[in-house]
Amino acid sequence: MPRLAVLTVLFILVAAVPVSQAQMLNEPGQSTATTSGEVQLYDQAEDQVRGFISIPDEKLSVLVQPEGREWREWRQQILPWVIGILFLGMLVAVFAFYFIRGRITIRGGPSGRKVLRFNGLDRFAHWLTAVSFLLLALTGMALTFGRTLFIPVFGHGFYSWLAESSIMVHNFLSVPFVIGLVFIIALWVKDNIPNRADWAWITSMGGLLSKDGKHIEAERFNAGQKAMFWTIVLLGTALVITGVMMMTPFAATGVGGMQVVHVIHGILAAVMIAGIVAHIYIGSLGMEGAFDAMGSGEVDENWAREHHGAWYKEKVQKGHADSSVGRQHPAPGE
Amino acid sequence: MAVLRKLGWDADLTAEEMAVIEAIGGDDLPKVSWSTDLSMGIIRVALKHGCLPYGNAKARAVAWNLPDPVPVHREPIYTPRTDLVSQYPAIPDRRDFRLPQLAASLQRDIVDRAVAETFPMVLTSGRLVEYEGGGEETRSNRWLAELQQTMFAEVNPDDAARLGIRHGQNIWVHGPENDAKARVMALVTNRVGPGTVFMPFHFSGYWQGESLRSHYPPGTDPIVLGEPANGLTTYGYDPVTFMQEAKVTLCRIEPA
Amino acid sequence: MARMAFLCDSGRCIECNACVTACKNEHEVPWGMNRRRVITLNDGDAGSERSISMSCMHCSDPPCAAVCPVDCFLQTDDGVVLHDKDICIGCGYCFYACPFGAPQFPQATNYGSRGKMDKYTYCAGGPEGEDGSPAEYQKYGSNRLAEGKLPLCSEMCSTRSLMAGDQEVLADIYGERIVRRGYGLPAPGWTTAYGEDDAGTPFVPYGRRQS
Repeated sequence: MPRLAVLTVLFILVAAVPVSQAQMLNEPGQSTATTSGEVQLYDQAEDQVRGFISIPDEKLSVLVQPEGREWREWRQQILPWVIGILFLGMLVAVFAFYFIRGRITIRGGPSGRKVLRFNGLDRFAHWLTAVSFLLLALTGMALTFGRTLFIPVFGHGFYSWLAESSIMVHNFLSVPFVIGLVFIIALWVKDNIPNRADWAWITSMGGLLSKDGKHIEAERFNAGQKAMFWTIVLLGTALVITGVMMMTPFAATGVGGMQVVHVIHGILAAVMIAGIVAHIYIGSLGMEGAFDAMGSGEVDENWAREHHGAWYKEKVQKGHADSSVGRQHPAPGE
Repeated sequence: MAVLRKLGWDADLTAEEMAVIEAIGGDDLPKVSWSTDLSMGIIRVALKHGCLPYGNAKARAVAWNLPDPVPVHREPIYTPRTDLVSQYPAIPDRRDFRLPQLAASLQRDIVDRAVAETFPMVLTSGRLVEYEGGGEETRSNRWLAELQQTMFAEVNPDDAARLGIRHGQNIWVHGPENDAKARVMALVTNRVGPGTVFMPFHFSGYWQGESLRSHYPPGTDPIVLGEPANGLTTYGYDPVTFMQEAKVTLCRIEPA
Repeated sequence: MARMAFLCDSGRCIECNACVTACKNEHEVPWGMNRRRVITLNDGDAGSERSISMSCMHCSDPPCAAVCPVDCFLQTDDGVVLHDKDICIGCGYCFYACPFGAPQFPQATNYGSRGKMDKYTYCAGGPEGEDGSPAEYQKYGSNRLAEGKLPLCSEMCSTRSLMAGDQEVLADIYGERIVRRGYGLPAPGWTTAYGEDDAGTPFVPYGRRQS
């Protein structure tokens, strides 16, 4: 359910942006000269008035760029709502799910036998990306909401310091985030290619919708995880690109382009944050035995058999599981 | 009055004004001018139409001791209109005090050598508001230097399209004397008409495409350097003041 | 309290850049930062070429102030929009919002910050403790308004096209000019703002005056 909600909201938002843009662009200027003295100035195509200037800085030759008005509306009115609705909405949805459905437990309880799911490299890649993203999200939200939330409490001076530090941290963390993304893609893209088996998982929403809660046999990553993977990779890449463009303003585009870049960064960040909230939920509180995958790297065999059956079988055959023939798992305490 | 009649503006005179004009003019009405019209009607009508009443754009002067009366049209020494040279020649060669001045003979020689065929564009030079004179001082002033950071040549868009020159691109400007040339940025604009190139004269510090900044003593080089326009301007002097011919000469431009 | 404004009469502006140079000199504005600039529209086209001196317009509802994440802008009773450089974090948002591109930054890149934003201050300095102090000059430039003087750019304008001062007075002056010289060289956007009557005559809101 959470993923469907996210998709719906995303669709609405994506569709809303051009619609609202079109509405707000009620052209004030006439496009033809009406008297002998008046000259045509407003270039409707570019939505700005541009002239000649002797100083070699292109930005200075813009007389007026009305699209700044729309961007202001976006930044001050719309974006906070978008982030707020997505973030808080997802939190509410997730907790509602917890209280209604409860924690998803392992059928038959944990067996005590383990199978290796993610090795050290996998886990390093994950946590590098995860921690970077969390800090990026927090600093980003501090910049977005700080003026309304922090200044009344902490005052201008302190918040200025906080905002400045947030920007520094945000920019600096883009590097480990990119490294993490590269690792993630290199390590897991092979197992995340969608195939026919995923469709069965989707139609039953991973077993949530089937009557007896019977899980579909999933591979290493089920369709929900694949969706999360591609969301993180694609949106994350887009966030990195737009973020770098904001760190090097006007290198590739004019002021209109920079505004669009900012809008994209904001929307994608909001979507990612909401998605990650769901991801964190399901990987910790929401499902028994799920955290072990990234915590220690080894998951309970019953959990594996239930949630990633096809992968589990493969692992047993290869001898990577405790139950494998000839595999000795060290007893606890040794 | 004659002019007013020719333009049809005498209809704008009021009855009272006409009465005064008729009283003054008597039989010879056209002879009444703005200076003799006591009704001030001619002045009023002229001003109403946006014209100065005391001019009909025909100035006449014979200045004692000046070599030419006013008006006399003389084609410049380096002119693209070689067909006009015989009718409007440059001033005859002369000597003023100790200084010799060639003009007409040089012009004939240039026409004979068909210089205008290899140098078809008119080159004129002039001022920029940001800089002054030779430019060393004003180009060292950081407020002014920021406003004009490169030497340029204004080229008409039609010429630019014909010669394959884009705005902001470097072009070579060749002058007809001494293999003169300069590489400057092209400013493609309607400020100049087709066939004319304008270059500001405030720049120096470059010589035929090469920067001479290293030749300046340390700390003395102005912020902005550029090609000197007078590297391209040619021989010619005002007959009275002997000011150099900076305003009209020939050139050829091509993309650099 | 009077509302301060300024007006650039594009019918008179000759693109001499005196305003730019005056501002640069008075406030020692560094290279690359342009508090004021002169833009020429239809450059080279005789009859339709217009030049305008552009800077921060001190809007009544400043978009820059609205989008600033650290709320570093303030507006005086006169209507002059100032900002506090101590609080500014150099994020660049004010530039995205400003329709006129007035905010200037010392750095082109935004690795953490673009430096403290700088802009046309109406020669009114900034929110530094004491008017006219060296600290204020260092950050914001001179504070002429506190001395009862008008901005230097308008004082230096060679054709009196750029005028600054009380908006009522400016409106009167400009109205008189229009009446005297007729509607031949209006400010850009005139008919957009005021329209024309049925006969096609542009509406002049100040009415005809007996000269």
